[in-house]
Amino acid sequence: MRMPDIVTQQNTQQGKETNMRPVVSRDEWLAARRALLVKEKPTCARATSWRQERRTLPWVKIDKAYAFDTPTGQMTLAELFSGKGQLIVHHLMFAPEWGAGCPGCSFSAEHIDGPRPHLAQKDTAIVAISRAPLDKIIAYRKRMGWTSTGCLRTAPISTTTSAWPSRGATRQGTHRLQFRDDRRRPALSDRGPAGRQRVPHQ
Amino acid sequence: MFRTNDTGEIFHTYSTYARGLDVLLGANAYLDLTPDGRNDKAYPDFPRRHDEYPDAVKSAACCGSGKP
Repeated sequence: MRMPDIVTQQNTQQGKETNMRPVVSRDEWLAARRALLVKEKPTCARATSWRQERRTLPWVKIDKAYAFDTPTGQMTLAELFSGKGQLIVHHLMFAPEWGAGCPGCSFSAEHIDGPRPHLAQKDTAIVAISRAPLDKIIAYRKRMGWTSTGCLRTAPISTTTSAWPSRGATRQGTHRLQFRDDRRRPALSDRGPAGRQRVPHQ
Repeated sequence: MFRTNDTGEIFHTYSTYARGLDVLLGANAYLDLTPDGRNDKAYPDFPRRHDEYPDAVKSAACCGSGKP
């Protein structure tokens, strides 16, 4: 079905230009919608294939002792699982000298509290970690309303829980989940002398 | 992503960055279904922290109730 050109009209109510589309009957709309659906379906099928392949990726054993500062005290990586079998770690970029978390990371972090109870039903915990000190993170979390509003469930480890490893633990020879900010892309790495491995996005 | 096994060992299973995180951004996914889409030209500097938009409801208000 050939779609006529987009028509620009003045929307006087909003004072903004509205890029109109052709206005058609319900039947014509349904035909156009079904034509698009034919194109959407292969995309869904490919996405399903990628999801299956992702789940078959090999694993890397974590053999370093990581420590994180949280509002309920220092925790190990294992403790961040909160008894679940799977753990999602969201890196919310918030450098120690910054006054607030990265806007893009904060945008993403607002998609954590809603899914959390649903993820829990699937044996999956979710945490966010930042490099900023815990007091800064707690203050930022309050500002963003992620735990202080009462609208959101406060989980043992909450949205911007500072799962930030303590400096002391690092000095004592333990390791931490370190994220680098090269080219503004954080990379999961260890601090081993063999160098850091990066996982580039395709 | 991390996974434990029956003996309590922990494994790193997956990481993704940048566009790989797009699927997590539900607000963008909603916008993708609208005629205007993400409309980045008309709304530059997006996303911001939610209390930094011109019409932002400050975080002291809970779900628009105006109550902390």
